[in-house]
Amino acid sequence: MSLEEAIRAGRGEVVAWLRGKDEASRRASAPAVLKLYKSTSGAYQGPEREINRAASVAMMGVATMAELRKARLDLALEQEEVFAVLRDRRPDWLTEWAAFSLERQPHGFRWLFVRRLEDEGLCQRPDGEGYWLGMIQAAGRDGALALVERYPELDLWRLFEVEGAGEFSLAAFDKYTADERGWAHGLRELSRRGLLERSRLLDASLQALGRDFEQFRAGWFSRFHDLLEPSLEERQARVGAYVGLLGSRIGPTVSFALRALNGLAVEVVEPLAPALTAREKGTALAALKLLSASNSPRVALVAAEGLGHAATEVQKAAWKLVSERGTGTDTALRGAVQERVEGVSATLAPTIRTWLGAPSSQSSPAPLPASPREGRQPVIPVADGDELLELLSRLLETGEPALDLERAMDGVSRLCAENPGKAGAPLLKRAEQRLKRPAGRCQTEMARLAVAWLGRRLSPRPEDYQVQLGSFLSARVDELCARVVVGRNAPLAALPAWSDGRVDPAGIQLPADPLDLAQALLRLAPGRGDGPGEGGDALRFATGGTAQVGPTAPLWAAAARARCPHSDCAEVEARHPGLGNACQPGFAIFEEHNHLWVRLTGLSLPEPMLQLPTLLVWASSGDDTPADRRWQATIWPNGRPAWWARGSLALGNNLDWWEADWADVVYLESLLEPVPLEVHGRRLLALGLAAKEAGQSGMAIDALAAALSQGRVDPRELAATFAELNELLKPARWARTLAETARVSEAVAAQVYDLLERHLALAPPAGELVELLVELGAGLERSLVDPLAREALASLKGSGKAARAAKIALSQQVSGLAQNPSVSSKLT
Amino acid sequence: MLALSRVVRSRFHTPAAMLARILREADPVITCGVDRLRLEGFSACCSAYARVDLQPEALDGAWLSHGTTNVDFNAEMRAALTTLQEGEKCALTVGREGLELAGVREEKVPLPLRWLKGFVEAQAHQARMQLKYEVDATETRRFLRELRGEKDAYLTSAGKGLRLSQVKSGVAVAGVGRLKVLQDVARHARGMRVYAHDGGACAFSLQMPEARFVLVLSPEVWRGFSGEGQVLEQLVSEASWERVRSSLTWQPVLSLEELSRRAELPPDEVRRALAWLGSRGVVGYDLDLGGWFHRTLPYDYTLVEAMHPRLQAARKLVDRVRREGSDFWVPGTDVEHRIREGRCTCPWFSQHGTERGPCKHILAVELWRDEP
Repeated sequence: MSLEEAIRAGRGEVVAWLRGKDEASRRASAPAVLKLYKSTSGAYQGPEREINRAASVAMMGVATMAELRKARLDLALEQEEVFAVLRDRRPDWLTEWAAFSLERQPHGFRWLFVRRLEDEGLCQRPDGEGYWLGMIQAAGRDGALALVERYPELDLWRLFEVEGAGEFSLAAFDKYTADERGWAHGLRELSRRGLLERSRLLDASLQALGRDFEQFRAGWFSRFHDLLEPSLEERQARVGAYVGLLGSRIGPTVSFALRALNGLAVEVVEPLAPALTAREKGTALAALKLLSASNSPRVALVAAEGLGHAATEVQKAAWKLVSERGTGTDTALRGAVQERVEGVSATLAPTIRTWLGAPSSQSSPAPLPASPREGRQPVIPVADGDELLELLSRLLETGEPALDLERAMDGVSRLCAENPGKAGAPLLKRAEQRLKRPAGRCQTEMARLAVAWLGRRLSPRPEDYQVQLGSFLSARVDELCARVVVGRNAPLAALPAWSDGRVDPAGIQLPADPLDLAQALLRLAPGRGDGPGEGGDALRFATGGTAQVGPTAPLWAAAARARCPHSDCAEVEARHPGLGNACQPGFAIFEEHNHLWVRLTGLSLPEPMLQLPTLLVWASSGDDTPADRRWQATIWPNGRPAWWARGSLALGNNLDWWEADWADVVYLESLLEPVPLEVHGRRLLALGLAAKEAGQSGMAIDALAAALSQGRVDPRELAATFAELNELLKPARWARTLAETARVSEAVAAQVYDLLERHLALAPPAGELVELLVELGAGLERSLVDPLAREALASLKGSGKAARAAKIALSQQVSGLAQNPSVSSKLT
Repeated sequence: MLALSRVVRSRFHTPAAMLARILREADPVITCGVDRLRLEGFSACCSAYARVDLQPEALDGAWLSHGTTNVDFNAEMRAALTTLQEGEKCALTVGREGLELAGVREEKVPLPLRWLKGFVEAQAHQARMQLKYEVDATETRRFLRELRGEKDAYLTSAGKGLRLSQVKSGVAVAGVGRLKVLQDVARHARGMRVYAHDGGACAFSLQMPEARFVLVLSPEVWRGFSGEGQVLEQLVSEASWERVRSSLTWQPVLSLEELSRRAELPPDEVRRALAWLGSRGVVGYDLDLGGWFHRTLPYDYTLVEAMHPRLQAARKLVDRVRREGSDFWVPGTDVEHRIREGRCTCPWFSQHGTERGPCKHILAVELWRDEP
């Protein structure tokens, strides 16, 4: 029997075959075993899997270390058989193999296997972190204490030197293990029994915290240190170590060190500096408290570091210490304060400037963010076959920009009779590949178009589980391809004339394909159009003329929406019931399963039809890519309210980013267009400002800044929208995004102030928003004038965040805080 | 230095299975120049390059020699760096065999080979960049403190400072999360400069009283510098580099005029030679000083060319390049690609254009043209 046959017979046969074999016989069988092992590696069940398991045992009996490494064979699953084979073979690379296995995947069962090899004298203890990480995992069965009892000679101090990664670390193990079986409790118990030196455990845990481990893994060592409950004397003896940890970049480690130092006889000054700008407000405040206990003359200088903290509360506490312990004549201190004054809260800045004797800062007007849609450019049609080849090739890879899709469709439509010869072969091949492995709809449709042009054949449309807005692109490509495969040239009516996606009505050449013309009508720029036939009638009607409504429903549905985008069209409704009247949905918030959701109300629509994009806009969105969604945004540029309503629905039901829909940000992009924001636009904007996903909230900030700068949204109307959504959202998110918007320019900041003031009059005041109002008011030297807002703030009682900020807001005078710096101290 | 070690231990985009091996190879390169120390390294995914320049004012001691070495920054060294206090003096020894700081010694270790490619590409990107923004300490801290999200954004001005926008304007920053490594250093910064070029790579230089921390980001998180092709054109071209190289004496910044005088070459030729030397890793680029600096990476420079699969593939295609009029035809898989006026019909070119260097077909044509 050959080894190969033994493998097929089972693992027991493999062990028997290998027993007593010399190295030459083993190596002679190696190539065949390796081949068999590789060929069955992909099997997860069935006879092939059994063969693979047997082959892995055989590998241990015939392969070299290099071959095992290359095959990534570190398995110790077939432990009994592998152990038998290794004990018989006794290769000199076993220590190296043990290290390799544990480095790759330091699972507990691997460690136990290596220990068995060690105990049998087959290998040495391997070097490297993997061994110790494996030991941590090996406690999974009976607990850490039991493992140490079983292997009492283990060097447990190495546990304090290895960080680990992923699921392999002390922190990860203890997180998913019952306390009494975890390492922290196990080590403490060993210390209680006198088997581990307590003071060394305390020191080792502090040393580990100084090793710059990642936050999650460092956390285990601070928790373990706390678990040991060091006495005051023990902590006092380790003051130096705690002070050393104040410079850690891990916030919780710094907090831990500050807690440990609390109550000790120690004077810390300079080492506290990094903690004063710690991200966590509590940490910085604790550091200031410890700093204030020192009598050092450098206290004020170090405290000045706290002026750079993000939280006003910390800045004010730091300033209190600076002003109490420092003098304006101290040059170094003045320099440190001067360097930070521009970044401090607007309510605090006047006080500091007075201390410095400096004039109020003059904020320079900042350039306003330019709208990307400003100054529309003409769209240049594709010039020749070469350009078309390159454009289509690029679109197969990217699927955007949307205007290029239209240029490509127009190019193929006009140049389809041309044959680019062998230069088109790479594109045709790539398009065919793309159709076999579809990506986004836009890429797929461009591939279909390329195949129709270069291959003169039609490709099937991608299957949609339901008709959706993106399906309209497929319908248009179907229509176009039917003409392209027979090489019939014609210009595309729907090709936008300008970069804002609008079609020039006077430039439309008729006759045009029905869906192409319907698409063109939905993109019409102001102007008049006319022409022969039903298409000409529809164009004339769409641009405000008179015409007899014809029989082609998609054409007249589009004409109705072009003629009166947001109101009913009686003429079309009479001939095509359900297609003439405009949809004007409402918006509602409702509760279900203890969660607030949003929905559009008042939508009574006929069955979605592929050729009717103005109705498809209300259908459920598909699995769109951002490129797909960007093309959809160009279907009906005059129908933004519908698009924004659709966006409000998407964002409103995913504010906390439960579902990673990266295409939703496209709805917000349309808010940058230079058109006034009506109610749906304002709602979408308000939802975007409260979105958790940074890309969405960032885009909403851009849109709000642009809309305010260009006068496209009234802040008081936007405040009403905010009030409508108040119950749905987290005010802290609004406060953050509004603060960021206000930084764009002073003019924008003033409008954000107006928005907040009005919002307070319409909705229950939230602490974060009132605080922002106070900051903006101080910076702009504005005070509340809206009596309803004043009344709302005056009604706030107690000592909460909102009530404290409200008192300041009410005390802000028109003359501004610059003349009344003492007011700011009330904030704390 | 701690922040630098953090960059080289970071992974912004790497298959997890490769992480352990890559992290073992995360060791900064140290160059002792005439008057300053430069420590450089890459993130584990090679998509971020970081360099710390310890300026002459930060150093007080003897310069026994010049050169470049690389050391392992392990947990002991990081622990020692963590305990250093601001204003505290510490002894630092850098030598051919390693580095000693605060009583911790690190030995010289082999560098990952792909770093060589990363170094030359990172320098090529930097040499194309221009200063776009400069902000003071307050705005630097505010900007870095308020970083949110991990995705792409555009850096734009807001008041006296900077903000990240989603609207295409200003400087494109791919993978904003990568900037978070700067947060640890922000406290010390007295200002920040932002450099960028049109290809999407950008650099952030934190200015400190006695040091600078430069972070260079690749145009996409998934694009490591080691996979770029910015230097491919230099690799297939010739330049009078020998005379320029013999004039390199560890200068902190190389003056075109000085090199031109020493090498007796016109400035344009020196510039080409420096780009050529940069493509071999012999010089690095200092954005703040606006010029190249001398450095000798511990590699065999002939490997650079061997490490560019596109160039290797192009060499295999040279013999099969066909000319028809002004067009060139280069075989692909089952099809022939046409190269007309520097543009190719292959999918790689369709996706990237010339942004990541030329495709193998264009390179093959370049090599064909250079053949005698």
